[in-house]
Parts: sequence; C-alpha cells; structure tokens
Amino acid sequence: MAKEAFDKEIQLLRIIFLTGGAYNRQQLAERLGISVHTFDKTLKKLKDIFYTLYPLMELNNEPFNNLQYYDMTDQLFLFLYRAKSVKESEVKRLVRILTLLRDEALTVKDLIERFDLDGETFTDLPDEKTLRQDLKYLEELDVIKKVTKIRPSLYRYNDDLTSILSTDELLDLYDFVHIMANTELPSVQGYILLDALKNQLQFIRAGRDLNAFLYKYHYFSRILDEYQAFFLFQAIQECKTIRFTYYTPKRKVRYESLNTNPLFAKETVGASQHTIPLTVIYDHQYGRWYLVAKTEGHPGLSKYRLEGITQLTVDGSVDADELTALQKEAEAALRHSWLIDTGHPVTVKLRFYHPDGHAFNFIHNRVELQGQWGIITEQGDEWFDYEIQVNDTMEIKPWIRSFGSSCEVLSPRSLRHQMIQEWKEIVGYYETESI
Amino acid sequence: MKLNLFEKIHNYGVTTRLLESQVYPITKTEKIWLNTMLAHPAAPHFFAPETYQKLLTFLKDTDTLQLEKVFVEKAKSKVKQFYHEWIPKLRRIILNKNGLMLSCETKNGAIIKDQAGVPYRLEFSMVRKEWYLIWLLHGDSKLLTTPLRLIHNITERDIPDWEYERSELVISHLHEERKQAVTIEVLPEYTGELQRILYAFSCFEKTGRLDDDTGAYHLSISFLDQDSEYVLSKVRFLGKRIKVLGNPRLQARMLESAKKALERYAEPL
Repeated sequence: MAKEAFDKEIQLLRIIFLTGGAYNRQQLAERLGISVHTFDKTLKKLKDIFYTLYPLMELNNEPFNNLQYYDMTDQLFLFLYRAKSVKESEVKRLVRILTLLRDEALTVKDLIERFDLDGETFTDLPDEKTLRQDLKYLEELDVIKKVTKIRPSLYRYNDDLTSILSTDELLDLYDFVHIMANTELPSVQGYILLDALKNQLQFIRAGRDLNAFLYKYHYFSRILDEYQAFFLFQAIQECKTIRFTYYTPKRKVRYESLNTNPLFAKETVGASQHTIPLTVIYDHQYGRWYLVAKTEGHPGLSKYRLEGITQLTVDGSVDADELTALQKEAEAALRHSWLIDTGHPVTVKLRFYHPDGHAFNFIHNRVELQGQWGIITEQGDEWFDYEIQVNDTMEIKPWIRSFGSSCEVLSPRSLRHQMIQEWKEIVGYYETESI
Repeated sequence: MKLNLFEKIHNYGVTTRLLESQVYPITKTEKIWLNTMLAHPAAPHFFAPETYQKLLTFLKDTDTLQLEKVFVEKAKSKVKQFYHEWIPKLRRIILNKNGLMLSCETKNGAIIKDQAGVPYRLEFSMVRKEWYLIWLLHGDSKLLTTPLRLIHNITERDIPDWEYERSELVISHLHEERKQAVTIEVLPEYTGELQRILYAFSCFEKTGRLDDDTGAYHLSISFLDQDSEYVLSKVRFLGKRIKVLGNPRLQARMLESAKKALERYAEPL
C-alpha cells in the first residue's frame, strides 16, 4: 500500500464506534494489539483532526462512541479521509497557489512574484521546480487548468463545475449528491464533493443551514471499509495479486503494530494471505464488506471480511484471461448466495401471512423489497407463498426469522425443524422471567 | 486513472485553510463519482432537464468508476421511491425556515386539508426505502411523520426565523420525550459472533457495556416508540444469540411473537 497506511486508525475508530464505549483504553489497546501509549497517541491524533474540522464538536470528549441521530449533520467518519499527513510547508504552498489562482490566471513566474505578498509570510520561498511540481499535481487533479497552449503556460483555478450552475441549480446538485452519497455505494468521493458544495452554498447563502435530510437505520460506519474496498477494486481492475494479514473477526486482537525493527518484531497472530482478488461484496443486511478471492492450493473460493484485512499490498500480476475465467466461476458460484455462501443450492418455500387489521400489507411490501430474486408463487386470502433458490439456508434464516409469526417455512423440512427449535428456545428466554 | 481516497489536497489542514479563503476545490475523483451517479435511473428527476443536460455535457469527457465487474451488492432492497416530487419544494421551505400548509391522506384513508405546521426534516428510511416528512403540527406540539406519497398539496407559509427555531427546540424536546430504551444482551456463548451482532445494531443510537462477571455483552439502544417494530424485527433477526432486557413491553412482544410462530408450526404439513 502507499507509504502511509491507516489500518490502525480505521480499526480503532471501528471498535470504538461498534462497541459504544464498552471497553476502557487498556481493553481497547489490548484488543487492537497495541500499547496503551500508542492507543492514546492514535486517538489523540484522530481527535485533533476531527476538532480541527469540526471546532464546535470540541465539547464532546468522546465523539466516536455513539451517534446522535437527529443532531447528525455530516458523515461522522469522513474526517478519516482527510487524515493524510502533509508537511506544513506544503499545506501553506498549496493553499497559497490555489488562493492566488482563484483570483486571477497566472504563470509560474507571476506566482513566484506574488507568493510572498500580503497574508502569510514564507520563510523559505518555494523554488520554481517545486512550484512546477505542485502545479502538475493540481492540474492532474483537475483543480487548476492551463488557459492557453502557448508558453509560458497560464494557469487558472478550475471551478467550472460549480460556476456553470446557478445557486438554485447548485442546491439541486447538493441534494442529489447528499442523497446518492448516503444511499448508494461507493460514497467517500460523494461525501467529499458534498463538503465542497456545502461550503460553497453556505458562503453564497451567508451561512444558512443546509440540513434537510436524514437517513434512518443507515450503517454510518460503512465508509471506514471503503478504504480497503477501493484498493481492491483497483487491484482487480489492474489484474494484480495481493498480500495481506488477515484477522478473523472472531479473534480478540484486531490489529497488531507492524514493528519496523525486525529485532523487536512480535510474531503476528494474524494469518498471512496471498491471493487473487476477484470481487468485492457489500452486504446490506449487516452493513459489511467482503472480498472473494482465489487462493492457490485452496479448493473453491476464499472469502474475507474487509474489516479483518490489514497490511494490504499489491504483490504480483495475474493473466487477464485467467482472471476473467476465475471471475466467471465466482459469479456463477455466488449467483444464488443470499449473501456470500457458496454451499449447495436449496429451494426454500415460505408462507407469509397478511397482517391483521391493517389496510397496508406491509408484509407483502417487505417481501417485495427485500426478497431478492425469489418469487411470489401463490396468493391466498390470508397468506401468500414465496419461493427462492439459495446456496444453503444459513444466510437466509435471519431474514425469515425477522418476520416472526408472519412467516412459516414450508420446506426444506430441515429448515422447518430448525425454526421450530429456535422459536422454542426463544420462548424459553422470555417465559422463565416475570415480565 | 489511479483514484486516491487519501488526497493531499483533501488533508484537513489544507481544507480548513482553503475554507477561510472561500476556495472549495473539486478534484477529478469527485467528478468521476458524480458522473457515475448521474447515470443512476433516478438521477434525471433531481434536476430541471436543462440542468441535467448541462451537467452531462460538462462531464462528457470524464470517466466513470466502472465497478460492474469488481463490485456486487447483496441483500439490497429494491427501491420504490428514490426520488419524490415533493423533495425540492419541502427542502426549500426547510432552508427558508418557513412553515407550510399541508393537505394529505392518512394511513387509514382520511383526508386532512390545509393543516398548518413547520417542516423539520425529510427522512429516507433505509429499510422501507421510502421518503417521509417529519413536521410539527401548528399549535398543539404534535410531531408527525408523513410519507411523501400521501401528501396531496403543500404551500409555503412565511414565518419569522425565531418561530422556526422555537419549533426546532420543541421537536428536539419531543424526540427526547419519546425516546425508549432497551438493553440487548449478547449471550456469552455467542460472543464469537459479537462483531456481526454489533454491526447489525450499528444503525442505532447505542452505548455498550461488558459484564465482567458473566462475560455477557450489553448494548443499550435508544429509539423512538414508532421504531419499536423495527427494533423487534432486528431482535428476531438475530434469534437466540441475543436477549431483550429492561423493556417489559418489548419482552412481552418477543414472547408473544415466538409463541405465535410456534403455533404456525403446530400442524404438521
């Protein structure tokens, strides 16, 4: 991966958020496989970044523990994607270049002349070579553009996207991006775009509050894994093999510091993996990400949860035709996976009962929305039947159970029997207590 | 092109300082994302036709993410109502901090005509895939959640900003008042599945606690009373791994639900 990895930061934010403050710092450090000192340092760094971006949040000493639904204005975890370390001198330079170019189109020579005028003073004025590198970087990002093709090149700030829109159109774009970033995947770039649009609109509308939307039951922490997901998307697109250390989520230790001095290197508890990535899966039911891969010497497909993947690096290459063939194999194996199970296909038949005394048939509605590729086969006055072919029954079971008494398993018999057993156990949980 | 999610220009120091100078850079990466999202079937509805066309023309040489071959979404609900025609109007009333007059149908089919109120938020349910308006009824401090599909007509009603802000306070107070709590216990024998269970509850306001004696994990969840059906379905979803504590009503509902489910199976097929 790049020089700077964010494994530790992501693992830390995730564990703090998911466990909702259940562990103290010693316990958290232990679970992350790092020292309490490193834990404190990492958390402090994250908080510093967070408070720099959201100064009003400074009153909240535990900003990552919980979310306050109705107070939510921004995506809480986006700040992680603003954590890349940049030298102070470079920060100043980039800011100065963009501010100067925002006001007028300039050549490199003009920039050098104006660099030190008004505002911040620069102890080391950047040389021409450094400035040219910065301009190249900004031009590649499309943040600035050359005005003419004749030399010397004249550069200007590129705000064409927002300048072609009226304030009203900008608001429509803001709303569109807000809704897409929160409901569709991937979303990190959407949230970053949203920030830019928000700042621009708030400037135009004199700080007017733009909040208008809420997303109920959203898995807000899912953007933490987009970091790994994007790396994998690109590795697959470029036909690469990858290497990483994997911690199964059942283990207590989630991350282990990578000691750069081999004399002090601890033996890692995670397992080293070398594999061909085939596809990335997002499971909407739990809000979790998976990697499906082919590992040499292992029969079938390997599946990994992205939250357990650390020290991810590109390793070698795979032949494009071989990759396509493997991807086809994976696609066929996953076609009937409720989530990611590639077990034996089974036909599951369910009977759903209409709700009593409701004008709106919310059961039918839910099955239509969530029933994936299953079909409704028969309708009665009080019920309807639904049928689906899935790989094993394990992954569909929670969904069936969530309907409670509104759903009865007709077949297979084994699943019917399991449901009866589970409901009996659940009755036992509540019957014994005086409630 | 290589897409970098950790771009120097998005560094927090750069961002906050550019913000002070009113510079809000948008990079190629965000444009690629936008171009990808503009191809969503619902996208044209969000814009006036000429705006949509303007954006497409502007981005015509920009790439899209092209994740079709590398990314699959599972257990995704069908979306019935990604966009609703009341969204632009309502969001502008909220932005203007104004009130409204609303005519709608209730769930039972009754018609409500020209009811005065203050709109608070547009809420999209990630589960029901439907848009709702949360609004405060004028006068009697009643907070309503109305599906946009049931709204017949809306007119903006000018009110002073202070009145809108006072309504926001009332709403916040009502939310606090309506909050319910429940404790979810993850039974010690299922702590191996703790991560999965925590993920499932990560969409709620919650605090966690570990019982040092029993090793059981307790998650306290707070939610509005109107959401208790969803909490119950989540509890049933996880089955015997978890147990509801500290909320007699929900506990009784779980018992009833489990007993009724067993009755369904009483007669052999």
